[in-house]
Amino acid sequence: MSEMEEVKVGVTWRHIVVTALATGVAAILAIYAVIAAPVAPFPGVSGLYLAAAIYVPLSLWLGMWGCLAGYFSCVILGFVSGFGAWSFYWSLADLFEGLVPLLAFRIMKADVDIGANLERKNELYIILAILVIDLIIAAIATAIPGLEILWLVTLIIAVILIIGMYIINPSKSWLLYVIFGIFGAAIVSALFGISGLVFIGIAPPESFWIGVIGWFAGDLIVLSAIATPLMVALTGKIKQTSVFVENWFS
Amino acid sequence: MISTLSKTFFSYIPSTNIMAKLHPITKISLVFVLSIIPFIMNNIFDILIIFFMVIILILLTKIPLFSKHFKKVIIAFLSVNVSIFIVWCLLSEREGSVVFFESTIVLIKDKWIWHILITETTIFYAARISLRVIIMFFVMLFFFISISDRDLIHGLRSIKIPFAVCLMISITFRGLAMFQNEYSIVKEAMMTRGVEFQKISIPKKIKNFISIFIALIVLMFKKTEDMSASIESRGIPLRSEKRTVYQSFPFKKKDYFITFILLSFFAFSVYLFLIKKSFISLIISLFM
Repeated sequence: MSEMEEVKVGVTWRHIVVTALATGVAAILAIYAVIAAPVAPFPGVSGLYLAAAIYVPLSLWLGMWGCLAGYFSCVILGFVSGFGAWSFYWSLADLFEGLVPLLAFRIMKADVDIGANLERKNELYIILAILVIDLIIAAIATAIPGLEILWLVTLIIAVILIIGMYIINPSKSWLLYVIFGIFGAAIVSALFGISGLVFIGIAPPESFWIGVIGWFAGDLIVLSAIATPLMVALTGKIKQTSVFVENWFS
Repeated sequence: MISTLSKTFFSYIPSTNIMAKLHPITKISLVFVLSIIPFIMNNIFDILIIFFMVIILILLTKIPLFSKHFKKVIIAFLSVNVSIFIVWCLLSEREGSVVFFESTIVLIKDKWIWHILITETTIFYAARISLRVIIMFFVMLFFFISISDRDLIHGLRSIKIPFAVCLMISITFRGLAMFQNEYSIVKEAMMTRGVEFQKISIPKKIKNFISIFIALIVLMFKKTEDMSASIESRGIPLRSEKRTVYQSFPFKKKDYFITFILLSFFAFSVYLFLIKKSFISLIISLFM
């Protein structure tokens, strides 16, 4: 054989085991987060959902297995919170939270290693922190009627900050992660999760925006402050392991 | 040293009562049906019937509700339930004939006005949701106490759920207990090295959490390598359809009977929901 052949590895026990263990880790953090920072009157909702900091990076490292870990961890949280069979529906919020960045990275064919060749790290983190605060204000402005101008201002600031980030660190992966891995993931899961609670009837429809803001802000903080450093620090190393998933399942 | 098999996320209490002898799938069906039905029913008296059924279930399972361990869980749950009730009263505006309380709080002038209106309809809605949440809580308590994770896996295997899926569920529950322990070990190890967790600023707290998470993720990948190597070295194929199991959990006559009753009750509840009638009104009309 003169040339090296590319060997495609299918689904192995490693993927099954890592999903199961990741579910365990995420479920523990989810239960801990709900006890430590609950958002009343939403059982199972946390203002600082630490589990998201694990399963969003995992979805980028392990593909659909990471998304499933997020889903199953939320099912367990739902069981513990007393949602019964409704957990299977409500937990789709966490599945989508992992799926949004995964879809973005796979469709755009971007490298998940957001930490590779990272330029001016400190400035990037400062802009990211400002962006998170700006987005929380934007979410509050969306919920309160009559604050459309504030919403527009925060939106313009967010766009400027994202452009600023790209100028400082011209990386497609970083940009995709900030837009879809932090903002996209948090907003999709918050809207679906709280809609689910309102649909089931646990939360009154009038409290929809309070729930969405609590969920969105909690996820935004966790994803930017914890998941981002995890992505930067570990992606390079995890890419070298046999568990890393390049496509969707293997 | 505690055996890995005894480390479990479930609060299973071994028992010889009638509920313990049921097939795990029958217990799972009970959990599913009893947690869905209260949401199909709109009449509070119908929901009360389900509540009493769940109480009977709890009594039959002989759950030591007033033991020290469960007292804490129940108190925590009741405080959550009370908060749901209060927030429902404060946030939902439901018109009614009797007004108990009405007030307007101006948070931002002309923009954010919070109108509190507590009527008998508000109380009805709040009480109904509280009752539903109580039912779901007790049903889940029944689930975690009457089923061990091993029973669950054997039950799933008995209805031909693929071996890989069952093993995954089993590892998940083992992983839960394992990482609960690992989390404390990593945190304590950091504390013995002088890392402060309590009286520190939020950025430092986040930094410490990142350190714990990195340790947990590295541990998770290491354990994945070990476990998957162990499974592969035993020659267990990923897709094995004819795999046999040592324990057998036959579906007995009483399991068929209870499952049939449950499914019929579920179908009847859906029917009542579709014709917009309540269980109580149907009974009354039968006797009048």
